Amino acid sequence: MKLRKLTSPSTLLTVAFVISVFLLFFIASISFKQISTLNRTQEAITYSLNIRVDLERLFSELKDVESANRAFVLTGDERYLEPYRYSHVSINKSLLAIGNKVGGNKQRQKEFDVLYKLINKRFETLRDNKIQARKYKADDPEFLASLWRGKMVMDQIRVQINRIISHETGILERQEADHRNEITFTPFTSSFLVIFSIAIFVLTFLTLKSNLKRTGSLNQKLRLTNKTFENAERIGQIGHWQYDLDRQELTLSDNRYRLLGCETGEFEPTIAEFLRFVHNQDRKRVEECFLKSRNLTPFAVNYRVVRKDKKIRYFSTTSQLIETKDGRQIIIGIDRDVTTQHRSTAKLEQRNNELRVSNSELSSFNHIVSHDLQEPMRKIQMFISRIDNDDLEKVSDTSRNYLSRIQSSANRAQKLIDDLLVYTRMNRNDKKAEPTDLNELLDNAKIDMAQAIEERHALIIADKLPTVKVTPYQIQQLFVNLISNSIKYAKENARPEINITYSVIDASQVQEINKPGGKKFHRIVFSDNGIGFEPEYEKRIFVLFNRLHDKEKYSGTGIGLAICKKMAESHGGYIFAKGDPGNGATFTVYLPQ
Amino acid sequence: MKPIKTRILLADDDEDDRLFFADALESLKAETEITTVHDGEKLMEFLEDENNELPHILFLDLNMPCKNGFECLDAIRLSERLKHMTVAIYSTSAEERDIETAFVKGANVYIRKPSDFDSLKKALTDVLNVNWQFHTGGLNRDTFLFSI
Repeated sequence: MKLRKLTSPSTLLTVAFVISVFLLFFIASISFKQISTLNRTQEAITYSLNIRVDLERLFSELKDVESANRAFVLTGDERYLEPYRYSHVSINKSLLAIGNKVGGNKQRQKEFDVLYKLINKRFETLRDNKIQARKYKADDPEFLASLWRGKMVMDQIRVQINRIISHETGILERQEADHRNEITFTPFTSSFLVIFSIAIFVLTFLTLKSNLKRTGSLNQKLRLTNKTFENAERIGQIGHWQYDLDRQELTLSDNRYRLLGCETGEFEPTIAEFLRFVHNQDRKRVEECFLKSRNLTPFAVNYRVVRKDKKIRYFSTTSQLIETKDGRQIIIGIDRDVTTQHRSTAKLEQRNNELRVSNSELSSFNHIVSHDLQEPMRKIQMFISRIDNDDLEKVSDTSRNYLSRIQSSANRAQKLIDDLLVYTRMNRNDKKAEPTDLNELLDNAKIDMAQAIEERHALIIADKLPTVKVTPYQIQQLFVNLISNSIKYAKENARPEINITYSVIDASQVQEINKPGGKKFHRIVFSDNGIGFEPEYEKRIFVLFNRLHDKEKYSGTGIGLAICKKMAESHGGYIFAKGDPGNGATFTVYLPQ
Repeated sequence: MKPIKTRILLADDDEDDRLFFADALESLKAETEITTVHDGEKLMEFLEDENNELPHILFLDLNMPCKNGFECLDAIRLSERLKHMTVAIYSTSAEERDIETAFVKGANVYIRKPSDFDSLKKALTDVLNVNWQFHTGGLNRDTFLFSI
């Protein structure tokens, strides 16, 4: 996290900028320093050179004076003294100029003072010589001594000038050496710094460029996302809003306005305005929910909204409080216009209610029909059973026959009613699936059928059955019906035999189920040795009230197998029948594992 | 010493059924004394009247006007005086729900009205032969429904 923060583009840029500015200052100051040093050295060199030139001119002027003096002494001609007069002035000028230049430096000043004194001394001797030259002859010893003194002073001047010059030359050489050093060092540092700065600039530029590029593509993506989001809101009839708790600012999405039938930004987004559109009766509830969401409870509320065009719409809002990175608390809400769903749900509910009513009417109709029909039917049977055998002897054969037919019809009606009652009971919604031992259900079924089994001496051989999650009474009824069916349609002269086998099978292995593999089924097969049926009736056999045999011979109602099919299917299973006329029937029940 | 007659009370709104019941009981030649009432209200009036001797067995139809069999059963089991009475439900209904309710509400036996006279006689004989004083102890759901 910290590392990422450090290498984030903006930090990188800031660091590069600071370094660049620092470097530029550094380069500038170094250059400034070097240039001013160079300037100073240059000045010093010029200065030294100037002093040398001045000194050499001074010396040549002195020589002029010297030679003019000699010529005068030799010839005694006053004309030779002409340059002496001029040079007097120019030497003074030169001395003054040098004196000015030397001003600052004590060492030079000292040397110059010595030179100045020597030159003054020389001029004194020259003046003496001039005077003497007019008074004395050439061989006068005093004059000669004065001349010698003059020569000696002149020598001293030469020495002194040479000394100053050599001194200056030394200074010059030192300065030139410094100068050379500076000059060789300057380009090296400057070019190094320039290259370094260029590198940093290039680096900064590249980073900036790639950042810009990335920002550009991100921006584009963001625009696309925004557009998608906006369209999604419009298509899905969704709007959203944000409420900043600290600043008490509400922001609505464009579509939130549209959902209210308004233009974007048509009203000031405030809580009061927001609630103004909520239906009078729902406003308080919505407000409470809103307040509740302040303590981090996400809320969902359904309410009515009165749009600008006074149309009532149903809204569903879900909201949640979130905290941003900078610690602000914002409630985010999603509003959906659920009017269509609401209406279709309402319609569906109404239909459902109607269905429930009609179902319960049907069920009570069924109940009444079968239940209340039983009473008169039972009484008919009862009354017939009360006719004494003695009385029966007294009526005609035809009447006796009629009476017996009335009895069998009544019995049939009773049976039909009983079966119908079972069928209705199976339709009821009190199914409760629980893991049940099917062996137990089979035993119960056998007890239910005990009388019929005993009468026909039926033999039932069963595999060990599994424990399956089923509604017990339904599966028990299914077993009862299958056993009863086999016994009912047994061959007249043979002992009924029912074989019950069990296996687990994959859905893909059963052609009739027609489902992809992976789903396992319990397969329970009931096969008997009864009269069987023609294969073409394999489907019809399960249709309610469908019978394959005439009712005189076999007392079926056509309900039993319909019940079986219903029971199997209500468990997500199947039942199939296979008939072999004269050899028996096989019923295969599939129950999902 | 004259043997005590078994007092039987039948509450049934159906005239034919009352007739069958009385005939069947008579044909058994047992020492019984039968009283019949036509609906639930009348049954409760009879039972609550302390001048009447309480029956040994009450045969109670479920589907009756005014007050049905279950309501009567509730009232009987709540009454301090009547709660130990032997009650046999005598109904046409074979609904599992009705049988279950009767058991839960404390009926002693459930007889489904048979559809021939001989079965009715057999059922009555069986019920009368049970010594109800000792029977209640071993009462369970399986023996509750009287198979005819």
